[in-house]
Amino acid sequence: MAPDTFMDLIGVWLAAVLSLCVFSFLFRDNILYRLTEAVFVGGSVGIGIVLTFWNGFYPKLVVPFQKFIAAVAQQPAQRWVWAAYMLLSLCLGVLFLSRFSRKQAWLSRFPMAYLIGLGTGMGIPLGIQTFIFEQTKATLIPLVVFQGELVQWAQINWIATLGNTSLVVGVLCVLYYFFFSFKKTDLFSRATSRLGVAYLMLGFGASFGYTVMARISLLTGRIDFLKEDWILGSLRYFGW
Amino acid sequence: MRAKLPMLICMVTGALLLLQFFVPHPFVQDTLLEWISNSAMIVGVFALAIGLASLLHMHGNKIKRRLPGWGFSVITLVTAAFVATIGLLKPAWGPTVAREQYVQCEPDLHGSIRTTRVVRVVHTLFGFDPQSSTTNVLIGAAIMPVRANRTPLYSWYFTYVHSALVSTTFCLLAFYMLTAAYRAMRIKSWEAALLMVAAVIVIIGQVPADQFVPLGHINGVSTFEWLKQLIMDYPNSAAKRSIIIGVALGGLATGIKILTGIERPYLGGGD
Amino acid sequence: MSARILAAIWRNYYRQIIYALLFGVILYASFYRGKITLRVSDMTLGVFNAVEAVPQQRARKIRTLEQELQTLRARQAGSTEVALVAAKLVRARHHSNGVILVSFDFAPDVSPELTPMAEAVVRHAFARGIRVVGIAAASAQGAPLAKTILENCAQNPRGLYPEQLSGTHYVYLGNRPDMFNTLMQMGKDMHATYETDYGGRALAGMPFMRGIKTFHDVDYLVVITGYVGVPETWMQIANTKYKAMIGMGMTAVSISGYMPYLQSKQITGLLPGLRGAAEYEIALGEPNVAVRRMVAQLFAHALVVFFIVVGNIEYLVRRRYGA
Repeated sequence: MAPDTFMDLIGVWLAAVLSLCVFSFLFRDNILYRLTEAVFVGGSVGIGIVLTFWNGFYPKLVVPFQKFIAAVAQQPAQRWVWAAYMLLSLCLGVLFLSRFSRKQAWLSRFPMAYLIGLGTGMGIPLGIQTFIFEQTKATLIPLVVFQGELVQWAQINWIATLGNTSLVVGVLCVLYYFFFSFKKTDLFSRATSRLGVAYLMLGFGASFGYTVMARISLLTGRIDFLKEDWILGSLRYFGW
Repeated sequence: MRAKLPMLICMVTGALLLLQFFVPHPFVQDTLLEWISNSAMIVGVFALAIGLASLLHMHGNKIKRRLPGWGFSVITLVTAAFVATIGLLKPAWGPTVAREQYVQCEPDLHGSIRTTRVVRVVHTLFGFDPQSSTTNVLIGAAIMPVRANRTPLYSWYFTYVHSALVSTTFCLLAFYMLTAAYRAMRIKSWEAALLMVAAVIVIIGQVPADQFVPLGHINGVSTFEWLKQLIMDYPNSAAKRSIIIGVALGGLATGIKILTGIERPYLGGGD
Repeated sequence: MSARILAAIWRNYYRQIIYALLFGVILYASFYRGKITLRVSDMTLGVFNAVEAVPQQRARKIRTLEQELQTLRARQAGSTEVALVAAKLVRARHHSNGVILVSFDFAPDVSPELTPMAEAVVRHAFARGIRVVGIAAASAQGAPLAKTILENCAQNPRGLYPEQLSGTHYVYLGNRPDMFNTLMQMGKDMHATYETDYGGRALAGMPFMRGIKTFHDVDYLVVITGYVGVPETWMQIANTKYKAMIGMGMTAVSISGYMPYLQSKQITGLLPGLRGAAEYEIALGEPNVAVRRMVAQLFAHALVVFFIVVGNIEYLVRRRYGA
């Protein structure tokens, strides 16, 4: 994004100033940050309106109905049913707007129920297959792993064996930990839950470790922009 | 009627979608799916509009009642109106109608296709440029404008204002993460110790620290990288897999309750 | 300066000092010009090798369809069945080097982490002569960003491949609302879902799109995202329902939660944030932005570990000796 035209240069300087205004929040809440935040929220809403119209209303409502109306005489009977169904969907969608009226807000239950029904109906079988069956299948792994194809006890791959065993034990212990339907007072229950917690802590620690990299990547990108595109880019634009 | 009809709609639509997986007839697999998908997109678009309208309503209310900070709400609404206008009306003039690149494809002497790029840089500042409305045009595999901007003002705003603000707001998290690491990662219990050890191993394992500090090797791989991969492959995978299965089972139970009408989350509309 | 004054300064301004240190360390690292080496992990190779194998996969698919058509004609099967297989064969032959679909499901908020990854994957495809279909299934705000990435890769080949043309070597379809239903429709007919490309050209008249109708006409899907829920939707629809092969690239925040899917082979590979992008660039033989930024990561991570250790020392000392 290094500037090569005058308006790009203005843009890069504006972006840099806005970035520094946002960074100023690190020291203290101040008017510059609040102004920038107001512009950010307003811009996001504006962009949301534009995207909702051009990516949603226009291709899915305006264009199909324009086409249908233009060719209305040649449509077979099935397309009339299709048009009626789309009109019904449009009416259902418009019912969402009833949320702004206190007396008529109950009308928004219909489109909400429609969307929830669709999502649930589609999601249940796919969810079972993707998240339960496949993950359970991946947990049914050999607890003892051999280095070759033959079962030769002298050739156990110890790292893989310990790993697989710990994976299966870990899945069962964590699932057991999340089972709150009965009190866990006996030694076995408490020990299993504790082991489950240990696995969870290792998992969350790994998540935190990766989160550090993710956050720093974002900051690195921003500092790159300030250094390469703003300062060095501006100097290059003026021929230095 | 107000409670029973939505419940009926939910059950019927859910059942129709479940049919997809059990009825291989082309009408169910193709036509019904297409109708339902299109219909859901149309209804869903209004749901997006509700979110935006609520935000505008909230800021409008703040201005009307002169609540603290109403001045900033004015700026918010003005910016929203400006961006929505330039995005919806797509004015042909604007600051970035300045650059067009053409790729010219023509056979050379040996018969293979040679591409040359012609770059035309025109500085405009809110001037009308009739070329700004051209899109990619293929004329017998010859000249083809590669980057013609149809929404110059909106694109300029998006690139230099919106993207900058979004990126910078999110990168503040890096600073907060570091202070959190300093303040909160304390060995207060064995669980916290485990979490911290795993975090430190993964943090060091991700970067080529062994290039600067000798950290040893296991199986030809840097020690911390090997340990990191071990943590990711086994205890982390075990924990996350259990969470995935648990959440999926919970979701399945909730889904069945919704489809059978035991749970009715859509009844939040009020009477 | 006495220890007491230093302690008072630290107590009152430790946040600002930490922020300034982090900023300074990353700025300093951006000037570092030394070389760093990274080992390419199996997670990254899962995606890289899958893209490398796309041309052979396409060749195998063409051969299989030709044999199937021959068999059907030999046993004088019904005309509908023959026509279906013939149509699939025509589409398969249209892009003989294979096609990948790249979904740029991210917005400017996570673009510093995912843009290098997206560029590396697209450049890899272009370098192997593989055609690219770009979409932004999940993020409407990311749609213009994805266009910029594709154009940048197409127009700045950096000596890896000839300049790529939109409509000939790649096509960018943009975004449609409601990701779940968009993907469901795409599995049946992409032309019905995206009637035009992002520039407004009708797909029906586009020679490029004659070879692509459903997910089955695409050899590999690469989903690059930073949002929870998006990979699950892709896996449920593209992998479970339509049996397509998927590779994922994600922000590092999400990686640990998606390792189980890699182990269950629901995805072939996983690119972990900036590290994944750097590894991909090294595998491609073209170290670029991501590799350079790993230096900053290294210094910043050292700072994080330092503060974790210092924080714990402070805690233990306080516990032992009081405040």
